[in-house]
Amino acid sequence: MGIEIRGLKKSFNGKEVLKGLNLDIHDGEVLTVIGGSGQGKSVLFKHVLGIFKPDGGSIVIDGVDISKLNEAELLKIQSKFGMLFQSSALFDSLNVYENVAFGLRHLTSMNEIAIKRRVTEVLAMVSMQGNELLSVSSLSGGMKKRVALARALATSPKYLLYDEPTTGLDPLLAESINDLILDLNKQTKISSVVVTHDMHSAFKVSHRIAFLHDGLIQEIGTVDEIKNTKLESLRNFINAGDIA
Amino acid sequence: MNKYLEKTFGEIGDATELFYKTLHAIIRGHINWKNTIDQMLFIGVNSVFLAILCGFFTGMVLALQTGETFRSVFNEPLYVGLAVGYSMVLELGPVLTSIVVTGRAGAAMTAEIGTMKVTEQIDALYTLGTEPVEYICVPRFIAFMAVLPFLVVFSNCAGIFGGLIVGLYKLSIPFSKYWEEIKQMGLSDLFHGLLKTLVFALIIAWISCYNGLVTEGGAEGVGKATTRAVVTAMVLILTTDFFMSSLLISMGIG
Repeated sequence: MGIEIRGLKKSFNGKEVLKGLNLDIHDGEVLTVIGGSGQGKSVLFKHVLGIFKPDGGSIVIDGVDISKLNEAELLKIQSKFGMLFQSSALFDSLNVYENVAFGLRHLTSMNEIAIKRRVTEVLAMVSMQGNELLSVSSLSGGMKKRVALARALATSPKYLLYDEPTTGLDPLLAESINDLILDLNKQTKISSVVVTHDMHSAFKVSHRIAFLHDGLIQEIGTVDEIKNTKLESLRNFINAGDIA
Repeated sequence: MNKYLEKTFGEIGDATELFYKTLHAIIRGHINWKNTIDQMLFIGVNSVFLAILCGFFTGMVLALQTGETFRSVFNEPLYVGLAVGYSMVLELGPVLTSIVVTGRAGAAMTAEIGTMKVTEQIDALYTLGTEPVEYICVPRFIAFMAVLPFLVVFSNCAGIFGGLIVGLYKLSIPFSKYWEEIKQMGLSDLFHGLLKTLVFALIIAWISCYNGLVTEGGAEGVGKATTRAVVTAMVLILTTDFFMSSLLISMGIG
């Protein structure tokens, strides 16, 4: 049924970051939200996950308005999501295996044998098999992203959110993460929402692109529609990305 | 001024909510025992040597000052065992150990939780079906309340032993006399100190977790949160000590 965001408003210390944002995310698509730094892209994600409470508006996930749920009900909705955080957000105190197994232990009733099988499977999907016993601190930036992606995938979420998946990676690693996003969408048909200001990545992985600027979605369309936009702020944003 | 008051009351409200949520989770039995045992080991192993060292030297200096003061007035070092025993068990053992543990384990906890917050690990817990209060705060609350009383008892014993060493070798007090005075203390005196210790344990866990969870702004934010946690916990321990002592004395405990 997808995600419907209507009139989403959020302010921090009197500064209005989201000003009545509307956005639909359809099942099975890769939607990329682009926009400059500080425009509220990560804030939008945290609302979808229920981590932030909106000042106004609604977020309906598969027919359920999450702003009206209590914490136990919200945890059930949150378990439909996997998220790749900008900083990977792997737990330092756990090794690769324990990180990937974490969600399986808390969200499913799998026994240890099934957990081990699933961990091996998702690590193979991100080409990280054989690294189960490594500590998080010994991983490179790209490896951390891959393990974080494996952790997000492990519980077979319905929705996968990527927060700046290519930020801080060299071009080759960034390209491999883009390929992974595409492959995963083809293999699993998971609905994916990518937040980025990397235009190359946005054009490569997206079915649709939404431009977030000044607290609102100013334009939304297919890759070709966005490339041929008449909106000046979006054209400037795309051109600045090309120069960079 | 209004903004300052709004912020202060907001923080008090948030901290109270965290305290309530944590106790509620403990009462419902939502306890991650693996994490709890890890935290017990972390607090105990990290702090036991410091608690003993701190208690030992405090006991020694108490014996020395008491003995020398009485000797200068009465030409004899009187009541050294009483002064060391009661001071350690009722006050210095619980308060000094709690302050040492705040600086050692409490600060490390705030820094760890703060780092988890700024690196989005706390947000990640939500997406992995885990309530951060249950995963982070509950084990730390239980661990502090379980381990701190033991550390205080070790510190008390080390203090009484330190007082004995000074009594025997510096003040020439016979062992039997020192021991007779120590034995005058009753169970209610130990209970007085340990009850306060449990409250101090709650304060350290609560303040450390709260400041960690509200950390913002990267490495600098973690540093500030850690300092704020240590200072707040120490001030609360010292002020609570007075009010708890007054209450317990009025109830005839200790």
